[in-house]
Order: sequence, then structure tokens, then C-alpha cells
Amino acid sequence: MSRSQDRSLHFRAMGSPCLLRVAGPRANLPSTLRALAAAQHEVERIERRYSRYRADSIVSRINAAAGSSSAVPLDAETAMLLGFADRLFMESDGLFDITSGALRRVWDFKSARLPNAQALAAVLPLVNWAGVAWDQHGIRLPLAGMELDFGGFGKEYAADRAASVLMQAGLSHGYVNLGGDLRLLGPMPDGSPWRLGIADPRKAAAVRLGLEVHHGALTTSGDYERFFELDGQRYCHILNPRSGWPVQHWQSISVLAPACLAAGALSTVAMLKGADAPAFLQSQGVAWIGIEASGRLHGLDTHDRQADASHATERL
Amino acid sequence: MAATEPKSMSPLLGSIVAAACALPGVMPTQAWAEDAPELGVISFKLSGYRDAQLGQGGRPGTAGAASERASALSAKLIGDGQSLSTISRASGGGFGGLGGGGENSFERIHVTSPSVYALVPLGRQWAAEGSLTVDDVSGASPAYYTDMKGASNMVDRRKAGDLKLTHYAGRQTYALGLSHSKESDYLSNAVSAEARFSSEDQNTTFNVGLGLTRDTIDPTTKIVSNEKKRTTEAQFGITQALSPIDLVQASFTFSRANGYLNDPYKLNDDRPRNRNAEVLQLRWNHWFGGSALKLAYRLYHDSFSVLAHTIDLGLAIPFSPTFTITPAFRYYTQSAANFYADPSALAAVYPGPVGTPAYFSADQRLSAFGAITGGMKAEWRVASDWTLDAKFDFYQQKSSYRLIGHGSPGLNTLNAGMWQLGLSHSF
Amino acid sequence: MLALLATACLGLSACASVQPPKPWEKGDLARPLMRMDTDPLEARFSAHTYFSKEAAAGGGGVGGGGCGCN
Repeated sequence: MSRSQDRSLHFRAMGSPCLLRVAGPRANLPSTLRALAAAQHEVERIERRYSRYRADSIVSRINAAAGSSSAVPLDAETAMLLGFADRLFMESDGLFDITSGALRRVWDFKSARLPNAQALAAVLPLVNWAGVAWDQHGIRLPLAGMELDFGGFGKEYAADRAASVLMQAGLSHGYVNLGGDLRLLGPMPDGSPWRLGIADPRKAAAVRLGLEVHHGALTTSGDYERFFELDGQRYCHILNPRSGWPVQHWQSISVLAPACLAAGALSTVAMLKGADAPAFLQSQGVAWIGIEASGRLHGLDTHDRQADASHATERL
Repeated sequence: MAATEPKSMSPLLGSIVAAACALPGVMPTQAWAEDAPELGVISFKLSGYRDAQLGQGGRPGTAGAASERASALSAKLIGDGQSLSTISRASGGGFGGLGGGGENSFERIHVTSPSVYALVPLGRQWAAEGSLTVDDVSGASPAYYTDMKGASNMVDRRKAGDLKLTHYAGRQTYALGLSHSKESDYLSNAVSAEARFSSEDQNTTFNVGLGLTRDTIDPTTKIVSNEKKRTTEAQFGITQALSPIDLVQASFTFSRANGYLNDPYKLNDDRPRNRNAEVLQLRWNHWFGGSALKLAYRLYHDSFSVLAHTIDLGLAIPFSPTFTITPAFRYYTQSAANFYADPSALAAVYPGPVGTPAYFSADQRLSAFGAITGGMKAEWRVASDWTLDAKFDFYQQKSSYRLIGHGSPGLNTLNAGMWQLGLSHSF
Repeated sequence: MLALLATACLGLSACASVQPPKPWEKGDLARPLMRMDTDPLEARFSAHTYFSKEAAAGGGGVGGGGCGCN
């Protein structure tokens, strides 16, 4: 591709390295630079609105009002995202629960200690999305100490919004990568697919396999983002909202879907579904690759293959 | 409303995917916006055509050598400048004056045509495209029916070009076009305007077009001189994405031609000075099994009473991202024009009209027949922005191929081969 | 002929039970192979050739101009 050009914008947001990449004949136009800046601003806007680490975010305001009698008013965007989270809750049989952030308080990944049984029992009643009263206009968390956490899909939503900004500006070759959550604008300028890697869950900075993708989004949920190991057992940050304990069936699951928001939601739910993940993902009609706890590959064309780190470039 | 209880129901297929995609801003609203094309294209193509007529001379009553009926004829010289109705000419080119016995194949027309096309985007809202073609034509056509006796060789070169400027404005596009064609005996100039409007979801597009053509006809035989023909066309169409794998298109074209419509090289050709035509075209592109199935149907009717059906079938099969094969098939059938007369059985009259009809034509192209085309196209992407293509079609036109009703009698089979070789570059 | 047209229409109406594509479902329709007009020079030459051999013409576009071959 001697003729095509390439432009990348790197920045940091949502606690992760972010990359916006545009390729093709429009890559170096002034309008493209403006679109890239606008896409970055959109990611930062979503972080400001929905990060629970920001005191001025709507999520923080909702969490601060937990247990009080007044409802926090909602804007249209937040109401839509809550509607989506509600839908996920239903479709995952309650496994995807955006109030499960409260469990963080009893799991200390830095000190590698298992939670106190009583502390866990005390915090479990705070994990209860079904008990939250909300509608298009306002939301009220009934118990003090309850909290909402958009971490399960916030970054993916931002990836889609940023990609839309770029696509709306006429850019159709490139991708958005927010900390590993990918959304493609379209294939490489000559029409050939981007080669996307899936990280090796057990080897830092290594790739387990590659995929050739033309359109859509690719996200991965894994047990290696935040975890500790104790007595040969790994405890990761993906916690079952009913038991309060981490999932253990998969090292990671990667999902391909038209939107990053969908892929991210599905990969998280799949991790939570454990052995039921393949059936669930199949019913959602998406392509996926899972690396089981043993290292065995599942999904796509892998025919449940054994660990094979050498090649594995699958066509989509 | 309270947050809903979880239901142990099996999720709808893709329900989470659909819900995510439906959120505003997750999917761009102008996913396939009508922007000017991103890349320009320049293509070169060399096309060729060669046809051959099977069969005997067609003159009734001659199984062997022609037998002219000698009779006393008188003639009178006429002054210069008077228009002529027909020409007596020496029949050269190896067709002889003999009625052929048995099936012979007479070579007719041979065309070689180099052409070039370019599409240049001018920013995001404008694009210009144009083409230039040169047709080198040589050979002979029958002066009446499929009778190659009396046909004489000719060589001609036609030069044609067209230009179109398109403006892209959100969900509408507007285009203006010019075209020009010149050969030794025919000059044609045309102007056209077209507008397209897409719905908000971009699944539906309406198009409307208007065309005006002005032709000047000056046959080399001087049978007529400086005749004019004027054509007006109007077209309305709708293109609809029916499903993720189906694209359909329907269009209706109405045209009105006035002026000199005769073929000056055909014997005693005398056609009305007006021809109104209506064309209905339906097209369907269907993606399945990794290939594109393309179907088209065209219904044609005009005031000459010609009713024609055309069916086109093509299957574009990509064997690899860089190599595609497209087999194609076409079936065509037409009824005869109402002033077309079958070859007369009377040797004395043939090939002329019986009696004195208002209009007359012995042009096989206005007879009733059917035609079949079978062919194949191959395209290679030789580099990231270079494509090579080659195409060959075999065409056979036969009275008996006519569907519903009888083909016109006394006409021989026409076989033709068409080939194209092309090179295309995007920039 | 009418039977063929009716069959085509039936085929299309059967497809009408499928929904028009959402913006994210247009990947296959966007393929270059699925376009209605794939090769402008080929279209011009074919139209010109058939125009010189048959009575029916047109339906594709307007204002293409004429020639002396028919």
C-alpha cells in the first residue's frame, strides 16, 4: 500500500491507553485531524459523565444519593444506557448486574486476601439491580451503600461513540482501540482485513492468536486484568453477583459483534456464564473465541483445540 | 417502573446485539452516506465484436446459381441532386452473386473498440466522470433480411465521448451529463440531468432522469442528406435494500423519438417518423453462499408494435479476494414491428414490399426472433489498486428462439462473439 | 412471460417478509460485487452492441446518445 496514509492519535482515558487510527487517502486531511480530536473529546466526555472516580459524574451523584428518598434526575443518554444494562440483566439471568460494584469493597486484589465471610454476607444485599427503582426521568438506589458501576460497558460504549464520530466524518478505514476494546471503522484501504491479536492470558505482552476482521468490534474479557493467586487458585475481578465469588471457568473470552458495546457486554456475560458460555454466545449469533482455564481453545473454527501458541490465524 | 426481575427465558437471537446497536451514537447514522466516491478510477478496455451469418442467400426459388429473369427494361437518366431511393452497386467482398447451396457462414461485421473511462472525485461533494470510445467497424451487413447478396464492404470509425458531473449533498445527488458521438454518416449529441434521493435509513433511493438527444444523419449513399432525429427520455426509478442480502431496483423509462428513423442502408426502408417507447426494468442482486446472484428483467414496448423481453442472469463468484469469475446468461425475445414484412415468396417482388404499404422494413432487427447469450468474465486483482479483467460472450440470434409465437420466417441464424480485455486502476 | 414476472414478484414478496437492513447489517450489500453498476465501459459496449442487433434498447440510463449502427 504505497499510496495509502496512516494517522494515529494516542491518549490516555478511562485508566487505559487509547488509540485512534485512521488509514487511507483521507488520513492526513485537516478535516480528519479535526475528527480525531472530536473523537478524543467524545471519549473524555463519556469518562467525565460515567466514571465513578469523578465526583461530578452522574454515576457518582447517583451513588451519593443511595439510601435517600429522592430520585436523581436522568438525562436521555443515561436513561438509555440504564435501559441497556437492564436488558443485559434480563438476558443474562441476572448475572450482569451493574450494582455488583459494591463487591469491590470486600475483595482486595492488592493484598491477595480472600474476603471475610461475614463481610461478604453483609455486602451481598447491596447487589440487587432488580430492587432499583428507576424510569426515564429518575433513579433511586434504595439502600445506602448501593452503587452503580458502568465499568462493565462504559469503555466499550465510548469506543462505539468515538468510532461513530470518525465514520460520520467519512472515514471508513481504521479502528478505535480503548484499552483493548476495539471497534473498526472499516477494512484497510485496499479492502483487506485488519489483523487483530488476542492477548495471551498467561503471558504478558504476548499474543495467543490473530483474527482477520473487516468490520465490527472485538472485545476480550479475561481473568488476568485484576487478580491474585492463592494456593494455586486464581481469583479474578469478574465476580458472580449472587455468590460474590469470582468466575473460574475461562481464562478469557473474546467476542466479535457489530458494536463494541454489544461485544463487551457479551464477553463479560459469557465469562459469568462459565460452562454455559458457548450456548449463550451461540444464541446471540456472534462469533467468539474462548480460552478455557486449561488453555484449550473454543469457539470460531477452533474445534476445541488444545493450546497452540505458535500460529492460529483464523479467517472471519 | 421497578427494575425488572430476571427471566429465565432463552434470549432472542442477537437481542443484546440489536439492543446495543440501537442506542444512539453507537452506530453512525450515515453509515453508507452518499458522499463522493473516496477513490478515483481510471479504466482502459479493448472490446471486440465479430458476427457471422449462417445460411444461403435467402432469395426464394434459387437452389443454385442465381437466375435473373431477363426482361426488357427501360431507364431514364435523372438529374443530379435528386434524392435516390436505392442504389445499384457491385457486390464485392467475396460473397459472389451466387446463391449459396447449403450452410455457409458469411462474415458480417467486425468491430474493434478501444475505450477509456475515468472517475475523479473532486473533494467530498463533487465527482466528475467521463469516457472516450473509438469504434473501428468494418465488414458488411445485409441490405435486406439476412441476405448477404448485395451487401458490400464498408469501413468506418466512430468516436464518442461523454462527461458527467455529480454533486453529492447529504441524501441527494444531482448530475449533469453530456455525450457526443461522431462517425462518417451520423452525428449524435445528448444532454442529461439526473437526481437521486435517499431515505433516512438509506435503504430506499428514488431517482429521476431526463435526457435529450439530437442526431444528424448523412448517409454515405446520399439517399437522404442532413436528416434530423430528436429523442426525449424520462426515467423514474426506485432502489430498495430489501434485506441484508437483497438489493432490488425497478425503473420505468419513457422515450419519444421524432424525425428520420429509417435505416438508410436497408432496401426500401420506410418507417414512421415517430417512435414512442416504454421500458420497465427490474433488477435483483442477491448475496448467497459467498457469491452475488444478479437477475434482471426488461420489458420493452414501442409504437412500432415491438414487444420485447430480456432476462439477464449473472453469478459473481469470488474464488479468492483477488479472483472473481462471473458466468452470465441472457435471453432476449422480440415481436416484429408492425411494418416489418416477411420475405416475400414471390421472386419478382423479393425483397421489396408487396403492394404499397404505408411503411416497410426488411431489416432483420425489426423481425420476430429470440437471442441467447452465454458468457464468462474473469477479474484479477493483480495489485492493491490494479485490476485486470477479461470477458467473452457468445451470441446467437434465431427466429426459432422466439418465445410465445413464431419467429419471422426466412431469416438465417446470426452468430456473434464479443470479447473485452480491461485494466483498471484506482487512485 | 407473465408467469415469469409473477414468479419474480412472488420471490420478491417472500423476501419482503425479511426486514430491510439496519445500518450495521449492510456489510454484504456494500460489497463491490453487489453493486448495480459494476463496469461502466462494459455496460456501454454491451448496450451499444445489443442496440445494433435488436429492436429494444434503453432502460439503463438516459441521455446516452445515439449512433448510426441501428
